[in-house]
Amino acid sequence: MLLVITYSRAARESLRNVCRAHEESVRRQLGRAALFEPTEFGAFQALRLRAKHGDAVQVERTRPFNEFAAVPAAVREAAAAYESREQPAVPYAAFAAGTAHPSKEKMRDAALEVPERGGEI
Amino acid sequence: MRPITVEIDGTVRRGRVVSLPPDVSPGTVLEAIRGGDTGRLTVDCEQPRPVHDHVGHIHGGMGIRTRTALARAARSRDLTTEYDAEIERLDAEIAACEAELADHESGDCTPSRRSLAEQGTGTELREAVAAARGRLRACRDHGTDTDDAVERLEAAISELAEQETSAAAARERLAQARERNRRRREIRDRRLRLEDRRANLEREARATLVDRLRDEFAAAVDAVPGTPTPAEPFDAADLPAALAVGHVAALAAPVVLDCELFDSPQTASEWLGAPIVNV
Repeated sequence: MLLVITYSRAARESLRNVCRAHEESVRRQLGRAALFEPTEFGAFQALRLRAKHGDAVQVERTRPFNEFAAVPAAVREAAAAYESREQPAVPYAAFAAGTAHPSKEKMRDAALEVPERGGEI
Repeated sequence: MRPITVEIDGTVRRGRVVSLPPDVSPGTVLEAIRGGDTGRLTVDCEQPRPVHDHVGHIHGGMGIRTRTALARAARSRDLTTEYDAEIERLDAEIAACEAELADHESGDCTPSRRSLAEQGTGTELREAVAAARGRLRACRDHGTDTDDAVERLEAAISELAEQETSAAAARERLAQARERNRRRREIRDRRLRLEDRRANLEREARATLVDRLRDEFAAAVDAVPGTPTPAEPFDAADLPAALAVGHVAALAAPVVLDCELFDSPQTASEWLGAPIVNV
């Protein structure tokens, strides 16, 4: 999908107008951002907004998130384990200390694999 | 009330009420009042204040946003609200954001995006290298002359290397442009929050000002000659509403008037408390 985020009052207003007028090409509107259908018409609307408002409009392309493809098992397991912890007040750092779960720092420094396609970075 | 001086086609007219020939459009007069260059017409008068945008031209077919106009009428009388200081502070912060934005060059990602898209992923060139390598191996296996195959392989390798270098450079430029834009968007984010807050306060201030003038405005609507009094003053038709706003406002700049409700332009001028240009 196309994620369109606006950064000015005028751009936000235009986005709302597009969302109102073209419900069929808008998957979800979230305040001053919206997810457009990944169709040529969705792209047309996103490009119109960018042509009108310049860098007050950010357009990104989202891709489905498959944690089994993109995320190491240790991270998935850590998330599940932390959310089913017995003491809700324990911060993750304390929870992970002395276990096999990855540290916050280690995860923060490890980027997810991004398939390189058509210049997207 | 200071009289105005109107010079049209070399003729000077002066007074609190000035009538103009019918071929002068109200738009031209308004432009001249607001200091624009109209060629044939100049108006020497006080500077119009924002309320003038609403009641500077009063005529039968006009429209008016009554509450906004009334709030500006209040401002023309220098009425203030408890929100003004905060609005002013926000204005200063918004101006600071503007200045900061001007200092941060925007990153134009378009050229890098285009060049990356046009270069593709290099797959074809990699395949060409593999094919050239295959041909060279075949030449060696068959003991035939390898010069040509070597040359082709070298050419393919050098083309691929060139593409990879230029793609890496484009990716780097794109990353830098995106980073610049990210910083600009942080500033824009801040500005948007300030502007939203300012808009809320502006609404509050406007409501306060309208409230303060509500009774005066109602009395003025009631007193507009030749029109029925509505049950709710804000339901008044556009023309009487505009006249009432003009009556309540402190108008210094002349009003361009095209309406028959008053006995004379002089009466209208007294009612509005402003010089009149009659069209």
